[in-house]
Amino acid sequence: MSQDRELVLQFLAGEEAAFAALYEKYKRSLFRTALAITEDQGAAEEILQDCFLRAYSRLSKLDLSQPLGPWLHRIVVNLSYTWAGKRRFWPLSLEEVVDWLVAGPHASPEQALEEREIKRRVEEALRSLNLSQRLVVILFYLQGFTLGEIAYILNCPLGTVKSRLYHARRILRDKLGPALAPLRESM
Amino acid sequence: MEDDLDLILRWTIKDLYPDVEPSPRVWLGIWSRLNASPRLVAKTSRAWTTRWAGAFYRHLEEGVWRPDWPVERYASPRAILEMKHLGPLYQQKQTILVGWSLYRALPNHSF
Repeated sequence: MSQDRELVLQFLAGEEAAFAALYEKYKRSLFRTALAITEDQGAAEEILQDCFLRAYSRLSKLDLSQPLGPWLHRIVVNLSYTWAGKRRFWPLSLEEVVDWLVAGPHASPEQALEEREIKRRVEEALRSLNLSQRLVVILFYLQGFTLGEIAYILNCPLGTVKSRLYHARRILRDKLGPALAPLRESM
Repeated sequence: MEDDLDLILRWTIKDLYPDVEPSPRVWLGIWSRLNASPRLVAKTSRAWTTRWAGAFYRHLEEGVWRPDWPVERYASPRAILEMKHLGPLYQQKQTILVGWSLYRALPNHSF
């Protein structure tokens, strides 16, 4: 946080380059979260853009004793919620992304097929979660935030985060069920 | 303690949701909004900014951008209609200012 704090203070002192440095530091992580929630590259880019526009006008109100990452993620999550609320339907498939991911240059056709199957099953299981549960899973497993940080990002009590993660894990376990052991062996 | 589910989720989720570089047009969009006047921002939508920045970026990449080009080069018909309310001189001036602000703002002018 000390580097972030320095950058924020520089920005507040009028150094625009510090804002660019903050963007450079956090763009990938925030974009990844937005992409994971929306599954739409265009929407994720707009959310990232809006996130930094909001941050620009609100950095002066930031509590510098708090870490910046969760604060920025909180903005992204709020914007993503708004975006999801406007969408009638959830995007249908991540197949293109999965195709691109599993087609690694070093994987044999069999390995690629196996990996693809694992990821397809996990993807399906993740899709069966509601948005609140999915968000907790994304922030916990993808971004590595603590439960306390997730509670801050989602602006809800810690107990709610624990409950959502518990139910999400139960659903995922049910969906992946008997496949878990063989899946682990193939990892 | 981690169980099978944790291991599989940690292993797969990073691949399902990859760590990719957002398009440079995001930063261009941010800068174009921040460097435009409040009046211009109020008159234009975020979607327009994204489109404008995308077109601007492409032109820069192709090396054919010129700061004296009119806004019509970068805007959608609807955005042009919105911009018309600002008056031609203002449009032109703003386009140049925003364009050069963007150009100067990016590290080493590298697009």
